[in-house]
Amino acid sequence: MSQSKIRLVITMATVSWIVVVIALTFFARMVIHRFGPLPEQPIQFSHTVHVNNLNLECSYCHPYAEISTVATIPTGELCLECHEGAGIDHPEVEKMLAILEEQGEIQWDRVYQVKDHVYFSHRVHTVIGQIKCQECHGPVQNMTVAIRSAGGSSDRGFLEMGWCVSCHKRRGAPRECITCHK
Amino acid sequence: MDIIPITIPLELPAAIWFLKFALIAFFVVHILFINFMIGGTFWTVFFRMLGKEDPFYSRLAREMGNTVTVNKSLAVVIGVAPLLAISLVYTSFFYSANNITAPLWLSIIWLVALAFVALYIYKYSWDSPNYSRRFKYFWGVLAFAIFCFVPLIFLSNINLMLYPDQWKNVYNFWQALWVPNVIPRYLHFMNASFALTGFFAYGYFHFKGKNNKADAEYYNRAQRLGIKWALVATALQLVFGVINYGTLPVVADSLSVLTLIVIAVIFAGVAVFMLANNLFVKDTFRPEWVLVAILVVVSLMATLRHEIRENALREPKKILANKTELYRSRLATFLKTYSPTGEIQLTGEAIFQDVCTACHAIDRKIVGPSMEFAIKKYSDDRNGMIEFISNPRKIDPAFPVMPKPPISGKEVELVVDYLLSLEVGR
Repeated sequence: MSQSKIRLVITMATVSWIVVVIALTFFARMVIHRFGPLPEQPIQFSHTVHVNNLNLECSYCHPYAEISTVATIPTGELCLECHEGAGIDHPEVEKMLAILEEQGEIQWDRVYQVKDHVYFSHRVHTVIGQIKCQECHGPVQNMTVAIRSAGGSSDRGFLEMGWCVSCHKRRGAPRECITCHK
Repeated sequence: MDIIPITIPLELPAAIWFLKFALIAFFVVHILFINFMIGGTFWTVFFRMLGKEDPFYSRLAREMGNTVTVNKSLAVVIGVAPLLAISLVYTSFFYSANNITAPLWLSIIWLVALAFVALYIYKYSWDSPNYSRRFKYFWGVLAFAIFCFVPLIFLSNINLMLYPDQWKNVYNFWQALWVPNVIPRYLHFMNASFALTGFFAYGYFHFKGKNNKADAEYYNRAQRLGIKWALVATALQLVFGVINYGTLPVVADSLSVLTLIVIAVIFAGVAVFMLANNLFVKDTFRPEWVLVAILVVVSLMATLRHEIRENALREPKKILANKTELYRSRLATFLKTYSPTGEIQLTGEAIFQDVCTACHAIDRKIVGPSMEFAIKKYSDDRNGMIEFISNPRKIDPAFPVMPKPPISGKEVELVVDYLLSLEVGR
């Protein structure tokens, strides 16, 4: 084989190697992020400060978790109940006040969700099932920004059916299709 | 995350950016010599065995053995700097992980000492007719085995420190090995040791051969062997590198990590391209260029590890800071209540100042209503006020519901008595 041919083969092999490694790296990244991207919140709201330091109950900000199907993220109005006066020199509170002033509401990045064909009621789980928030949401009281730490979510943040079923099985909860599916 | 300890904020001996820079810079040099030490020890034992058939390998093994004792000393001495830097920058996390794996972590000291002794016995018994061949090999193999095991202890520790959520499930070194990413990272590191030893042999024998023209054939062959090892092991990083990245916990990943990997892969490709040309065509590329390219790759990898560390510890660091703040404020409150006789000294006024003033003032509304208003309301109802503070509920829609204060029944009474003794709001 002539030298120029060998050089061509080396070039092709090197370029292919680089391309394959980079392609596999991107694939590996998809594998890492199979639980969905980490939520990026507009404000670094700290759960640990509000729960551990200030002794607030989860239901203080998420009251509907005990009375409705959805837990809901509190509106800016609820934040302002305290933050009209409290912590107003904290940079994140300042940021929140500015957002509320300019946009009227905070666009939080949703952390957990179920698919449209699933019927899920927070109330049934928290009141009737007496399940603690942390069982599904992880130790939120120790988190700053809430992260997806439970739920077996495999599809961009949607909770996985297998995870629901295993808990229903463990607790002897109904497992008929229509229990959860619309 | 419950397990994250509090920290005692002490002043660092240098600016944090400097310590982080020193950590990366010295780590690059340290890890290079570690890689040469591990790969070099393998070479000296492995090629000595092949030397029975071919005197080239015998000479190669001996020369490589001579470099290992130097490289290992440099690796250890330079390794002190990044070890000190990491323990200063990530104190609470680093020492927590060390605690979990303590027996093995501390065994590094005697293991490394034993490996050094073994290496010297191996080196200085080389020509001795008094010892059997098996005896001589034993010390070389022992040194290599220890050199392979010690990085695993280091890696498991450094990895464990990044994921405090794992601490409650890990009680010792063996369990720490199964924390995500440890084994893939170790395999990636070991393969890198063989690749970099190939690069080292290429450079070392090239520059040595330059001053020794009479032995050109030997040095040329040794260089080519180095190139082959470097080529094969670097190509294999395709597998080890991808598995290493693919098992990284998501919290440790970021776009900067991805970018650094891509740049490092390109530079590794450039180094491989130059090496392959020098092997299969003719010496077209100066060895200095090859070595610079691979040095860039190692530097990028060290920066990458730093990025991963920073990403993984971002959330735990916030929790650490918050826990520390909480601890300090509770400690301050405790110190006010402490007396040598064990009697509680805190007055109702002090409790009010510590616990209530975040939301209440005497004469004006903050988050909750003014105390003037409350005192007026409860002036003839001490028990009503005690009951409300003990079990707060929503009364006035204009105010948020009061969280239950973290004080005892006796302390609630002290606060109520203090408030009702004030000459305001009546």
